[in-house]
Amino acid sequence: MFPSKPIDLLILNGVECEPYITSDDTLMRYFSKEIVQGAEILQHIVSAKVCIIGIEDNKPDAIKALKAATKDIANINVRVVPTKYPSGGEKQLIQLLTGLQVPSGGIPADLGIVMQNVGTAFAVKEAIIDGKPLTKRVVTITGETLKSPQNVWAKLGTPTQDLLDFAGHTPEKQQRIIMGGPMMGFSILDASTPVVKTTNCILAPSAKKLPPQGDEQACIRCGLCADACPAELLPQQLQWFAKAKDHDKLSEYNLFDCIECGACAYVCPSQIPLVQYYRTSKAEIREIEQEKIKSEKARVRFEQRQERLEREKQERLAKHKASAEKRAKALEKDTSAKDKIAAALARAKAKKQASSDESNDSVSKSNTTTSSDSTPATKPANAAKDKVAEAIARAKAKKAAKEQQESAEIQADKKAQPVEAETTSTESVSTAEQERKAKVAAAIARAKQKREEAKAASQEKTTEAETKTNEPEAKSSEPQAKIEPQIGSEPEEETPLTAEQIRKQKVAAAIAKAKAKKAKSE
Amino acid sequence: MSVFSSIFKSSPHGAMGMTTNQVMRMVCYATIPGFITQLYFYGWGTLVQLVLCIGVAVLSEAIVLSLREKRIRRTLSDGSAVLTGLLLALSIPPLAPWWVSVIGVAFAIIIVKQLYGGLGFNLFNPAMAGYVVLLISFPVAMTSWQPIQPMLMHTLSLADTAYVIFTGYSIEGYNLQQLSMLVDGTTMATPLDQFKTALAQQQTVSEILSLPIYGEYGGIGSQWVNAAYLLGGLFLLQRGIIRWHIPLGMIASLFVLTVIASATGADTTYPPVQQLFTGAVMFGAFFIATDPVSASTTPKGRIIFGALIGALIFMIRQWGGYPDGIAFAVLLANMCVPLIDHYTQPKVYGHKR
Repeated sequence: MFPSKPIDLLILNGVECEPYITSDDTLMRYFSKEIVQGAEILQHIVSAKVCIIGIEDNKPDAIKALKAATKDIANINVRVVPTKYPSGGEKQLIQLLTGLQVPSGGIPADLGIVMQNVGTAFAVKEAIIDGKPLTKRVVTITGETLKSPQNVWAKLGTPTQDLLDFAGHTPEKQQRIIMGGPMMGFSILDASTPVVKTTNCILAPSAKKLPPQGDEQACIRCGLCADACPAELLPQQLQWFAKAKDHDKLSEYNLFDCIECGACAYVCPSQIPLVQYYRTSKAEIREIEQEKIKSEKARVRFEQRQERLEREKQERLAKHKASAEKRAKALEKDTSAKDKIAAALARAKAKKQASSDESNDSVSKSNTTTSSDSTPATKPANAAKDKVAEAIARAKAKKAAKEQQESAEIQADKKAQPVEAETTSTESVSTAEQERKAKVAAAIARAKQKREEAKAASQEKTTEAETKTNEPEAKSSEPQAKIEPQIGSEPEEETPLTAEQIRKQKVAAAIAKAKAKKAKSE
Repeated sequence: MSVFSSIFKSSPHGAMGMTTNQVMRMVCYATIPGFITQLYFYGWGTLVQLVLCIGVAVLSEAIVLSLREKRIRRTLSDGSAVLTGLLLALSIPPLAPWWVSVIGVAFAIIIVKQLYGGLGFNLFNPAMAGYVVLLISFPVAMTSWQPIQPMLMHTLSLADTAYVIFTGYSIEGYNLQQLSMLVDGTTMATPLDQFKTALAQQQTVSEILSLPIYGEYGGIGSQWVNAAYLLGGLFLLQRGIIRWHIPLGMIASLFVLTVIASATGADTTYPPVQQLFTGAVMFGAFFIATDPVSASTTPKGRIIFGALIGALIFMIRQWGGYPDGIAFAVLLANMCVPLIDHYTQPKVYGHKR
């Protein structure tokens, strides 16, 4: 990303950002030579023909020091600017020194200008000539609650509390500690907050000297804010729009050209925290824009997907068409294939014919069962008839079984119903009671089911027994004796037991067993 | 590890210290020279009106605030109601009946200011809107300014003045018309009124100006009152309470238009200097038109706003039916403020236009 315009001018910003802060001043006073060396390096890097060092007129020592350090260098000039906040702002200092305005949304390089802080020039010298990394910076520790406000070399990472202790801090009630200056710095809540590269000041003011803003009052449209605004915005109108969340109007009134210097809020007689409103609105607008970008991306993605699907479809169709054409061509070439197809068609026709005959037969059969005998049937048709009859029989059997099962279920249901009715009729019964009853009902239903099953099982058994008993009967009468001891436990019968009787007894025994089982389970 | 104050506010961490209340108070103080001059020339009436108007203003503001469930004490402390009452009291004829003042102030505060949302939201200058309502509703009471005290047959004590305002008669039983009688037993209109009437009677400007109600630079009393308000206005300028744009725009446009009219037209124009020092020009320029709420808010817009008022005053005085037109001019200009503001936005840093 190289600027389109060559860099003509390097500006070193020696204008202190805000009131209270003197860190740049200190640096310029004691390290003017190093700063100038750094400036020369920077000038070389950006190939700027001229370098201007801008200093405010309230720093006579720094001006003297830098003038002395640059007196033999033709293309580095020291320029003195009036002390007026916020002249230290990049855009403001460029306007002060060159009369040019950085275009909105642009950077100074668009004008062929690069601006660096004097502290940066010093760090550049340290890094390039001495090979020292940036591990410390000048920090102003100041405020009315400090015994000895001063500038110190602070290692990056030094806790704020250490610096405050060093300067003899005696906190007042509701002490505010500000990192940075009074206009743009931020309050810190925790004294262990460390010094970072941008920490130029630790401010511990007294409430008397720097009274905190009072409660917000109604805007009286006095316009002091507009007079104070260095960006020539209309802070008051912006405030109305910010409160109304009228983002279009905010953009129209160039909210994003606000540098948040705080001048408007400082002069506001109604103590409206204007900058805070702007920050909130900026954040809101940014968020909405992010959302817009997101949805736009989603839209593009969706459209691309649709396009892809459509393309794939077209491709598929084309492929099919191509292969169909290919086939047709192949067909034209190979005449034997034609015959094959004809043969296949003939085969298919025959098959169809046969199946239609079959169906016709079955239909006629179901319609007129009696007449089936009189109609002469072909061999396959007869076979089909048999099959159908078989199927019908199977279906009937199935149906019967199903009906039986259903009736059993209905019975079970019927048994369960009264219980249910009881529970519903007694509304006063607690839910626990209801639950219990339901459980009981369920148990009963289960038992019934089981019983039913048992019955079915016993029936099965009886049939089994039948076949079993039939066997010995068919063999000989001898097994009778064998059977006797088996049934010895049974109630005595005077008459000799026939196979039939034995079977009956067995059945009775099975029933009794099932009953016992049922009783147990109940 | 210590945790600092729970007050956590966004930057900036300080304020200039000039609060709305202080601004309003400064404006009130700046009316003192004019007020004293008015007392000297027009008697105790202005003081009685002052007390009455401020009382009614604060009371009506408090009532509306309580209806709107706002914080009464804090809102009243901004001093804007007091200022509105004060400005109206200074505009009303000193011996106007008490109900005139009450209606005017109540209208100004309740309708013009609070119903629009309170301080900062009113479209019109409350004092002037109240004044216009009175002027249209009670033209006789509102135009019967007495001649200056030294010329009067009867001068009233403070108690007598209060008696006149509240009952319509002085303790000795004189009514307002009798009290307006000059030493020689005749009555006289206000300078601007007199000028119009005399012009209609085919008198020349110089003939008219030789009448005893005219001083060297304006009305015999009003020239001093205007000078006193000019002084107060300069004080406000110096303290940075108001800016020069509106007063200068207004005075310059009135002056220039009068000069043009005097130089080109027939002998029917009130002379330029007299124009500025008669009626309520200085009071209007420094205390009324500069009401920030209803004035334009851009620097260029303020000049246009002031010039518009000046032009309207000239037109009303020259061709209108009313002798003085400050209140009408201000209200008409108030209506144009959104338009003016829209077209006079300053060029923002880094933008081309």
